[in-house]
Amino acid sequence: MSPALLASRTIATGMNMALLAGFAVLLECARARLAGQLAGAPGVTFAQPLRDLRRLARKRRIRPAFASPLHGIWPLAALAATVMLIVVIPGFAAGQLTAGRAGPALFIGLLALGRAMRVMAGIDAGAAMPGLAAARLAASGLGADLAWLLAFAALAAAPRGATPEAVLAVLGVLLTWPGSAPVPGDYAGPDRAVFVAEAMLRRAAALALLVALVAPPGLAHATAPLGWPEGIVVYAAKLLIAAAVLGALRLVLPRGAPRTGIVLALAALGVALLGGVAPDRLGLAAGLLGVIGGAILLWRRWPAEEALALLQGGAAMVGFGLGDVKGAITILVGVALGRVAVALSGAGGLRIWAIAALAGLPPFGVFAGDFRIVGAAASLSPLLAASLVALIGAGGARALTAPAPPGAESVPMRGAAVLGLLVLMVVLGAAPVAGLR
Amino acid sequence: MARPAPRPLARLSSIAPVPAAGLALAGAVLALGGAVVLTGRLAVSVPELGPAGGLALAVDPGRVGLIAAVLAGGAAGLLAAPGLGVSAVLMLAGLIAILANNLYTLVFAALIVGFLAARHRAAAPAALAVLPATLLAVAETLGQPGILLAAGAALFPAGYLLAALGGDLLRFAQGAALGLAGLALMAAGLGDAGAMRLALETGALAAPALALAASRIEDVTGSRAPDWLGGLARGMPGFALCFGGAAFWASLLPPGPGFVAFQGVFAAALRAGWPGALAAAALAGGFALAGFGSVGLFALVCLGRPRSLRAAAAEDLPRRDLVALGLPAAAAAALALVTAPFLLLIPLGVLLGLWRWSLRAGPIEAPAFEDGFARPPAWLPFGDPVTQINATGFAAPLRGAASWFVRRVRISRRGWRRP
Repeated sequence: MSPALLASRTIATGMNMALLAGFAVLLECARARLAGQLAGAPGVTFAQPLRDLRRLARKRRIRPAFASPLHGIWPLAALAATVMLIVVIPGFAAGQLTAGRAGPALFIGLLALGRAMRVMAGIDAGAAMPGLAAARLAASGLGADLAWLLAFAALAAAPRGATPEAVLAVLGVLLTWPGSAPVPGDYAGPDRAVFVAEAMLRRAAALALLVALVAPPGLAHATAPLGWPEGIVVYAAKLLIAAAVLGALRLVLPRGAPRTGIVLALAALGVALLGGVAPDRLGLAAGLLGVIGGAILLWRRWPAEEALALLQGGAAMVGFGLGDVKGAITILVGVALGRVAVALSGAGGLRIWAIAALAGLPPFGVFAGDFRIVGAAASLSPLLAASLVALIGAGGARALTAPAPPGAESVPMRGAAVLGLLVLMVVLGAAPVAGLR
Repeated sequence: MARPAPRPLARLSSIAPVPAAGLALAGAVLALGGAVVLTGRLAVSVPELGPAGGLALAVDPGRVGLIAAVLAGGAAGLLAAPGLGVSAVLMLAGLIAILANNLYTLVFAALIVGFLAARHRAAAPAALAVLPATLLAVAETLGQPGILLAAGAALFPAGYLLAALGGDLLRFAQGAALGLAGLALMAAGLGDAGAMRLALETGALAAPALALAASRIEDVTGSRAPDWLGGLARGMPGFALCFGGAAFWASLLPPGPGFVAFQGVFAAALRAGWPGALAAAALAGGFALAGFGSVGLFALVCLGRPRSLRAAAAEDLPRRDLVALGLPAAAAAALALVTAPFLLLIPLGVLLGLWRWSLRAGPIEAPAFEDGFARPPAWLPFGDPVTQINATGFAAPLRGAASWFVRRVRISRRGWRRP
């Protein structure tokens, strides 16, 4: 390789690292701002996370009394592993310096290495709650590693452009996606700052990995710098879309369902091995599973909004399977709005209305979508329609009679926002998208 | 009354493991030297010496790494086994048999080593170094890639599940050895000879060190159960370093040689059609379990607060044991440097740079926040052990899934219900 080509590839790799680091900071700032707004804490400025980091980095380091001499190493090792991940991850240009050395196993291995350092950090001080959190992190990481690797295997086994397998695999990965990487409880000062920075980079790297899994082809090549600006713009757009879609999906998908995620990734592999199935049948089967799963979760006293989201998401999948796209989209939009309404209402008096909207009671939009889909199901099989009605009805009744979770608090000054969302959901039912004017 | 001096023969036999370990180590160094000097295959055949085609020794440039790893792992096992006596010579012979190019010799050596390991507890670490490599050489001669792949796909996750269920350090070592042998079998089934050798080398180095650690920690603290250990990094820093190294190399996390082997096998599986896709599912399960089990084991044994008084009072091992533990771990680090230099050096450089930055302000010690629990009484100077996570709690998700499965199986069979 000529020195010019080597330099070009090196610069492209460095630019990709800088792009991902900048994206990580941007994402964290936006996340903190949105979380502050949602929690009713005004005054969180956009650059607040950076200010927090700077303050933490200036503080004195503290080591708990029973911590090992390795206590200060864990955050640095976690950051080193994540920086290595940023180095090897595919970016805006094909043919980067690390292109030949990277592969699915390496990405997952480096994600697992960073997580392993967090687990050690959590257990190191011998405290109760951080140790418990570390054990949970290790268990959820086990599911995440499994789902990622199974998804890669399913996509490798599936023919090119096989949508159902890809959808199942990505859903499996998303369900096992850990929430936010927790900072181990006994860390303070610069050590904590390193962990926070690592969590930011880790989130960006995982999103970049998801983009590489779903939409891998890049426009630019590392040896042709003239194409870089276009490649960077397209890649940044992909990252932003992935972040937005993931954020929206987090509103719809239930949290902390790694077993379901692993089952979905395994199903993707099975479907790929069987030579593929028709998307409509797959949608119907997955939707029914979702509806039944949501009803079971409601019966087992899960948080009502998450179980209802799974139930209604399943109904939407049934709609996709039956070819009723309008009804399915109406339900999905309604579920997203309803989740936000439930989150904003806390334990206030409007919570029951938000739950009713999410459960698909009239006059809210979710009801319109459910009505359309049950009608489509009746034309195929009356038994299917009756089962859907029974499951959705029983789920709604159970959710409406369930008490609010003990941690939920009433947030003042949020009533107007909840009312606005509820009105939006009513309008959604009458909107052209639902087709029920 | 003065104790009678031991007879010269008994004295000689008591020190036999040390020269045997020295010879094995010299063999490892010679093998590595051969890797540099040797340009082609070196074969020595003495047909007069044995049946089935005679004794034939072969040193292949591609296999010297495996030979060196098996000899180094075995040397560590012998060095820390003073009670082995003259059996150490037999064990050395079993180690050298890895050079054999002959099915008869390999089976013979495997049987001898297996018998010694069953008879002497001290021989188990050296046996863990030699047995997988020997048995895999035997399996390879059968030439059935499909069977090798299926056996590996069953053994790899099963071995690491055994390791991750926790409860016993020796079981962890055995599970890791089984898992790595399964990975090597899968590599052989998929036709990736390089990954097979790397998996075997990792097993030959990490498994003896882990088994030695289990044996030594039982001598020092009276228990091999991680539930009764914890916090050893403060009282036994040398042991913690060596044990952590061995557990890390067995964890299949990057940049270890085991990870490089896993990466090669996984890439080969993705290219191999439907059998490869099924193998990839087994690979995914084994990899996830390996990381979960190894990380948890090291953290629960060496970090946190001690969970028993003997663990709290434990002092570091004697130098000979530390050398025996550290030798395979250091050899695995050298192997990682050779197989994945960038993967090792870039994070290491970042880590050292950051460490230098973080050293500017040294930490001050602060009492740990007890999460609202009551202040521990005076007879629990290291806090109340029940307030921190232990190995049983750590492996609870796996135990829950396994017991759920067992319950379903038992209920579904007529006449095999739980009492």
